[in-house]
Amino acid sequence: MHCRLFLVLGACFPLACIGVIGNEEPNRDEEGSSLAAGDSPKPAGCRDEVLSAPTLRLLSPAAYMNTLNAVVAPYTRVVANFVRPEEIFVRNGFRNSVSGTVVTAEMTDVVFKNAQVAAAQLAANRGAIDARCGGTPTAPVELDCVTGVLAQIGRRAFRRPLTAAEIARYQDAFKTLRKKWGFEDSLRALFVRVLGSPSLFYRSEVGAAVSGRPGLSRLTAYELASALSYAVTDGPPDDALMAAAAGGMLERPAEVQAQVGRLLDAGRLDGLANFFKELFGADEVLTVSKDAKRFPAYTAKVPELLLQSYMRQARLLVADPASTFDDFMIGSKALVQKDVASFFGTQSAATDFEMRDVGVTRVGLYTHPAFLAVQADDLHPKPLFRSRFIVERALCIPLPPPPPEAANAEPDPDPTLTPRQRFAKMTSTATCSACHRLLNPISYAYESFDAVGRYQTKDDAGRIDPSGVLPLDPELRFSDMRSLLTQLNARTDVRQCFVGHWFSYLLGRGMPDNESCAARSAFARFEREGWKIQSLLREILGSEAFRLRQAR
Amino acid sequence: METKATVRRSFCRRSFFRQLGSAALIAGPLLRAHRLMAAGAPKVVLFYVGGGMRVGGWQQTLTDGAALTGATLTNALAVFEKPEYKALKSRLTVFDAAYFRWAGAGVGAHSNSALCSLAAASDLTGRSSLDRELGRLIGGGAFPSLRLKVVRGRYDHSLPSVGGSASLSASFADPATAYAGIFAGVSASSPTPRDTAAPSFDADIIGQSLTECLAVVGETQRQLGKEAGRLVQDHCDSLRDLERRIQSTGTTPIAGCNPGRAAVATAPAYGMPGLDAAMDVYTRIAVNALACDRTRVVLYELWGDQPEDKAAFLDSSPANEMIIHRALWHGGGSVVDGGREVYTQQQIKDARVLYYRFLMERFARLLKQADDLQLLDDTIVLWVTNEPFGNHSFAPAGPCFYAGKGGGKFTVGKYLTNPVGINDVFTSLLRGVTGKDIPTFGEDGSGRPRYGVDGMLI
Repeated sequence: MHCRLFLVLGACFPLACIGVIGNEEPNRDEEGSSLAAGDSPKPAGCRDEVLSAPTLRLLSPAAYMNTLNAVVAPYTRVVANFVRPEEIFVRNGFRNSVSGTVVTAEMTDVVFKNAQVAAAQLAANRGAIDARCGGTPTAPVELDCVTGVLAQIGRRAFRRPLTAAEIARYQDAFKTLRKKWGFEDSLRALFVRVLGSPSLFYRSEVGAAVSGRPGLSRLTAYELASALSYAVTDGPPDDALMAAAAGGMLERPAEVQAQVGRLLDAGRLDGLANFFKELFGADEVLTVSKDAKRFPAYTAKVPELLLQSYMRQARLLVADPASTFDDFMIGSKALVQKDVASFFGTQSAATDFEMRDVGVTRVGLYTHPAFLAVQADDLHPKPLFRSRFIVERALCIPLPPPPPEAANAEPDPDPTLTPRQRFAKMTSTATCSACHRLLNPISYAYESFDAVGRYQTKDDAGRIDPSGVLPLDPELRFSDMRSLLTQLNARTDVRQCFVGHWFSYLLGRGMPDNESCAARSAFARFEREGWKIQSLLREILGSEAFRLRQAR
Repeated sequence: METKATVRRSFCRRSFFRQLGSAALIAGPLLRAHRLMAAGAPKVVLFYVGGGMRVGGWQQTLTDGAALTGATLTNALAVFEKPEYKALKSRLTVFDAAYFRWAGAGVGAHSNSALCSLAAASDLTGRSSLDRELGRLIGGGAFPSLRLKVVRGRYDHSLPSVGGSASLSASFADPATAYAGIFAGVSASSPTPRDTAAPSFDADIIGQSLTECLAVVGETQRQLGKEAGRLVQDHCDSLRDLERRIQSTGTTPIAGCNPGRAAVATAPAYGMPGLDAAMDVYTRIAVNALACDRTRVVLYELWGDQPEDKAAFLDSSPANEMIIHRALWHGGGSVVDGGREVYTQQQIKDARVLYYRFLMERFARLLKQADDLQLLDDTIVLWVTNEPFGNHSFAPAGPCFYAGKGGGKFTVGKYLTNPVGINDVFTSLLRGVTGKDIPTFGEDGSGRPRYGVDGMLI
């Protein structure tokens, strides 16, 4: 409680964020080799892409659950009650970032437990086993039978055929188990081994050497199938994608593009929609509480409904081929229903979500109540924290943590001052102003939204003045949040930043160099095709940067 | 500009010596991690209570270094004068003054926000940097052998029998789901390992998984090198722990560690008749989490964010008409509603004293349960709070207690008035528990060298 109130007031950021705004040197990965020329036409004057290192990537909790269910589903009609691992959060990045993918002890517990549940279900499904083995087999045919069953399960679990070495060691294991246990128990133990294997909950992005291009490796067909599928659906590759991988078709860029198109058209786009969820941490709305007296309409079901509204809108942004960057930044429509319409400043009698124009007071996801409610305490908004998202996520200007001097210098809030006056006073020192000259003006506009995201023209301190001047190049004068976002929307660096975030998310790595050939190509297509989000996604998912890795 | 630099240098030097002096004074009674590396696996409980522990006039009267045994402690520690808890007094060490100033953590640059963040870690929502730091250090990266369990002892609006609408946390809204989170898949209906068929079959299953894991480590190392292999190796290490646990339950069960049965036992208790019962349930959860072999760190969080409703612990008090009001935690001023003074400062102070006395009793109960299970010698239970005088009392030092020997690495039974930075306590705590130095904890962004409280720069 104290913390949250403090967070509203206490953010003060140090000198380290001084820079020429609008002309920053983009972040580059420090490690890595460059993409050699020769794969596709490059924009003139672009810089070589710094490729990702080969690695293993831990599946997100949702992706892991989707994978486990996909393995079990064909063999059982019982809905397994698997335990979902807890989220792993990644500092300054997306949760699927390679740097954050470290398996935890907690996850080990969960994976092992789930593997036991899944294995028991599979082993109990005598129909599937019998179909393969012709009834409970007897030695020596049972080993062949088990190998066949495991090959099926393993292919789904690992998203690739089992290797000869894997098959050999599973056969050895089965023989050992069989000396002590019955057929079904032995099979169950082996299933646990496969379903609890790191090969299931990590996915490989190691690649294979590229002929004639030393220093590079290319994702194998199965690795690419997984990379595409998890990026788009947050789940394992479907049969068509696996078939394309098996048939060697994913070697052809045109086929990759076709598969990307097919996945986009299929409409299961959780992986892509999660980008927007993580960009704003919108799912945290489920963990914040609001003062019941102050906000009686914010009932227990509201957080979940707000998140649904947000995620449905996010899905539309990636699923609707016509959705553009403008819809994300300044779209005037939102999905509302009767219990949450008031938070958007509108009304609805609908029990299911319906699209409503809310553009009088708010535009785009930067003003969605799910986001605004998270960046607030139980009573008050946290405008500075909201504004940090604009600086870091829209403008790609990194803000370092505040210096310790900020804590020592911080005064208690003066109740005679408006929040705007307090912010200005608190952050007027040289130490603070370097970053707060950006943060403060945006926070003034964000004061127009209360702790539950409702539009307000005055707060406890009086009438709100949402206008400000953002010291960008050129200077940006705005009258309110809508005016601010509309002007930001028109800036090239904001659109480049958006492209960069998508690269970072889809490749599970840091932000790319805006001047890299891959980023420039993506930006060019994004612009050429009317800033359609799907155009950007198709370009990145089909890019060399997505397929190539540094060679070890 | 030059003047500023000079001031800064002298400040740093002064701070350095002051800290070094403090550290040296405290070195004796606290950690001796580097000399005591041989002890077994210590466990940690962080017992966090939201702000305002230092109620005016509620001070200790002991002198620095005094032994707690034999002293008559009043006020905050009065509970340890009760017969049932008296023996625990000798297992307790008190810091009268733990400064939160340098805790930093990057959450709004605030010192005591480190502790807020520690509390936020129980949400595991990752909004603040320290909970991520904690997760990284304990859950995934630096100390893979430490297992963080989160127990939220929060009496929340959303508890069904209490009513109200606010939702606390998707995963820990009630004790039953807390169990699910804490014991990772073990629910009331799940059999315990002991209840399953033959232990040796369980051992074979886990053995298969471990073999598989090691095989993948080998392949990964071949493909990507040792560093990448280490990622998977962490998983194998966890499996080894799991193997040990399964073996234990098949032979010599660990006292108190029976998550499945405990969950069953918890279910009837989950009637939530009031704060007291809720706290008992959470205490049981915390002790169970401790008792399980793999659980090495428990964050037991008690928040003061109460519903505006009567609380049982106030019923027989002079403040029995007091509701649990926000002002209780914010600690300042009277509560005025519509120009009428609803609660006086004295009433608020009375209520705070009662509330913290109540919470201290929970602390004592937790210690006693742990001690009854012979866990306390292996455990250190750290009580921390923030904003000692209530809201916005940022810089002052506040009290901080710990109990238990943490596997023989911590000295108990002392009362210390020397100021100490709370982050330094944390660094020393982790060093003592893990035997590893950590270069940062809390990331205040200052580049300041992190002091331990055992006389070493980290």
